[in-house]
Amino acid sequence: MQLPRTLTAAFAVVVLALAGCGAGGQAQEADSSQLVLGNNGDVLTWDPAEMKEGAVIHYAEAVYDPLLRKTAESKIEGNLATEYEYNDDLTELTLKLREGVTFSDGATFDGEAVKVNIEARKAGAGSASEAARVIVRVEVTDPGTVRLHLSEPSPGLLAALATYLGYMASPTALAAGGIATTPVGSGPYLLDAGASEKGVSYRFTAREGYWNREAFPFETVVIRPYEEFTARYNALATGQIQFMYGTSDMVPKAKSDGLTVKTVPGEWQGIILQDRAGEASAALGDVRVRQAINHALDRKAILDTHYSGFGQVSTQTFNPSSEAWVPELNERYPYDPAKARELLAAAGHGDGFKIKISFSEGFMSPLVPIVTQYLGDVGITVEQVPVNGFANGGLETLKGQPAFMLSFSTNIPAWTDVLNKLTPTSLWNHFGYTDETVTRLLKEIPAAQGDEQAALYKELNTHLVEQAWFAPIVTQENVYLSKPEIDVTMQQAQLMPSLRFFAPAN
Amino acid sequence: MLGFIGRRLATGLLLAFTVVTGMYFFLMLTGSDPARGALGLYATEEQVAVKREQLGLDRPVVTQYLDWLSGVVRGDLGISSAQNARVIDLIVSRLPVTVSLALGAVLVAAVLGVALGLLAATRPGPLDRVLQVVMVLGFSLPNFWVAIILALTFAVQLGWFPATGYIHLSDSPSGWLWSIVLPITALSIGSIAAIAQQLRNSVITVNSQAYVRTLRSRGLSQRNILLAHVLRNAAPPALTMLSLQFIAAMSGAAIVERVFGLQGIGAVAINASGNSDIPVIMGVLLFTVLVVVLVNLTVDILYAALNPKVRNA
Repeated sequence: MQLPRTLTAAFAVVVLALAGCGAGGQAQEADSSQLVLGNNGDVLTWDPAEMKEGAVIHYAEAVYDPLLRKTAESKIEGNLATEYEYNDDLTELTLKLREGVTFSDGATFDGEAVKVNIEARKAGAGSASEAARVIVRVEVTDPGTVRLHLSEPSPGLLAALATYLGYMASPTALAAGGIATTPVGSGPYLLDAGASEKGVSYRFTAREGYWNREAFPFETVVIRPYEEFTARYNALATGQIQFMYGTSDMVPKAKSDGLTVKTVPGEWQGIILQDRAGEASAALGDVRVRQAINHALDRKAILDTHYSGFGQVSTQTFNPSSEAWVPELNERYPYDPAKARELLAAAGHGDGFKIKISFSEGFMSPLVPIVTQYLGDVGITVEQVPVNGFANGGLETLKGQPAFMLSFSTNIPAWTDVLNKLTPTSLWNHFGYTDETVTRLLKEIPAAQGDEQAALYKELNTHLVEQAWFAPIVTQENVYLSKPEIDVTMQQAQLMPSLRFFAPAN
Repeated sequence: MLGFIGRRLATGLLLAFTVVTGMYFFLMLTGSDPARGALGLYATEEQVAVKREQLGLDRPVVTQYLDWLSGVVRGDLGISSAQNARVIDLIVSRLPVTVSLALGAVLVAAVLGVALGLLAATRPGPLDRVLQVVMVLGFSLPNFWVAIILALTFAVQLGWFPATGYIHLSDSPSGWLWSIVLPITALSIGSIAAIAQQLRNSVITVNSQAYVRTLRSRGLSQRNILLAHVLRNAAPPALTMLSLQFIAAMSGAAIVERVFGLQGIGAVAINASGNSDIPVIMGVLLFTVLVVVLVNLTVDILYAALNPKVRNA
């Protein structure tokens, strides 16, 4: 019987030895001067030029300051650029820069730093690159003033300068090439590498001399990535974190656990009927068929059952707080199977037809059979086409498909949604479809401002709904859960509220 | 004995080579795009093409494979295409979590599985029947479900253990132990049942053989017969089961890690899959295959130690 004892001892030694291989820890407990955030995922790079939209914004905001910033209503105001002004034809944007700001490596924030950053963003492949494409030249008129020369008016530019395009990294660090692994910014916090562990926990400490300290009241911020919702919720419920992005099915439990629940209109979910010329699916080329699909969906029933009421029925693809939103449009396609059959018959499909609907497997999967059943009820046979994740070839697969279901962000300004889905080169307009009205409006909107621009957005939205480019079902409510010891002000049209909207409850 | 170990080692390495080679070509030829995965959806085709070139993906697959293989031989698993990190560093930094869970689960399973198996085999009647039911129950509970229930009960409701996170042994030995108790429990329940059931059946079979009756007739104590003779002959099937459970624990850890918010090898693999990060996927695969080979080799050596006839097989 010597062998088992030896084995046991060997196991123990190996466990102890291997367990000691790691370094660092994550045992910081929350106190009133510390904010601990649960994040949806890890930060893969610290280079703002490579960062993608989404929850990663909390990591970025801790160390980088943007040129402009968004209010809780997603209005734009000055930040590192104290003033901003367009010329008359909206092709030049002049930024007046804040004086006395330095980066954490001692480099000075000035016009040259802005130029280096924006040029880096243009060359990158992150979210900022799309908005940066219209910037043809960055002119430093003096150390405190920068002028951006644009190829054409861009309504989304200011919002982009309030996030990834506007995050300022040290020009010295950018030149040295290590920004992807070591963030060097002018933001409110410094990454404490010694107290952080990649993929596990990131600790940020308040940066001395930061110009806007009162907007960031916590001495330290800790961000912990949790891909799994259950783990994230358990961490929140037991006080390991203080804030998380949740799901609607967590709300009853969260309330009973004494957590604070807040919501904000978020993504729209439904079908992109992208083959509007009927190239792959002839039936979809007829607007009556697309309208019939819209009439076939009982949005209210789906909202109540599938979404537990967290959202609003919608026929629109813009954010409810954006200038494009028209509340009355949500009445355009009431659930009316008879009307749907009538429209199909008028389009020559009285006996029904088959359509392929693609979807990326995952959280959309439960919605697909629901849609399949509703469309089946009016004679439309859905062939479900699951595709791989987008990085695994799924995006290429989608390109040939007549229709697909996804969850789409809605943004302020609405121009971001236009760029995502409506132009002939948009990522989510794979057939490059357009029509005269859309072409005209996409020229007129960037050249307009204020009320005139809002009216044009509404005209565009109304046209899209009437032409049934999409079959949205709901605009869902994003759900955020937090501990009572912190206050969080929700921010419209942003997946995660900015760090400066977090404060101790007292 | 050395010749036996050498033959087994060569067979294992050949198996590892075959598996990783097959997987490499499978991944490279089935539409995964590490360049797109690294850059994201909004990168232009031009940017993706540049990235592809930077990653060397524009070269023939065979050339890429040979480069990767020569790197492996030198101990260099390459650079993650989605993160700015060496693959070997990513794996090594996550090893403590996964190895703690897998070894801990197997250790617990071995101790409790053997104890319960012997108990069931030597106490026929009600106790055996009760243990049989418990074992079947243990088999049938998926470890992710057990993990969720354990987390909700003992971490969220009772607060006895941390709900998420891993504490390194070097930071706090007691914290480390506390942080792995629930994951190990979730991982080991099925293994305990499997080993106990296997050992019970083996012991009962061996117990009924003629030489055991002879030993009894010579007046040896039941305890002596069980521990010195029966267990020695009943152990090989249980050892096989134990090795399988270790491999199962390695893969099961990927799910359990997520439930407890642990960043182990499983988390690395899952994230890498989402980004088509082939260097990391291959690194994790290589590591896993080598672990399987090592575990099988260990079991073979133990077989040989228990039964010298095996050495000539």
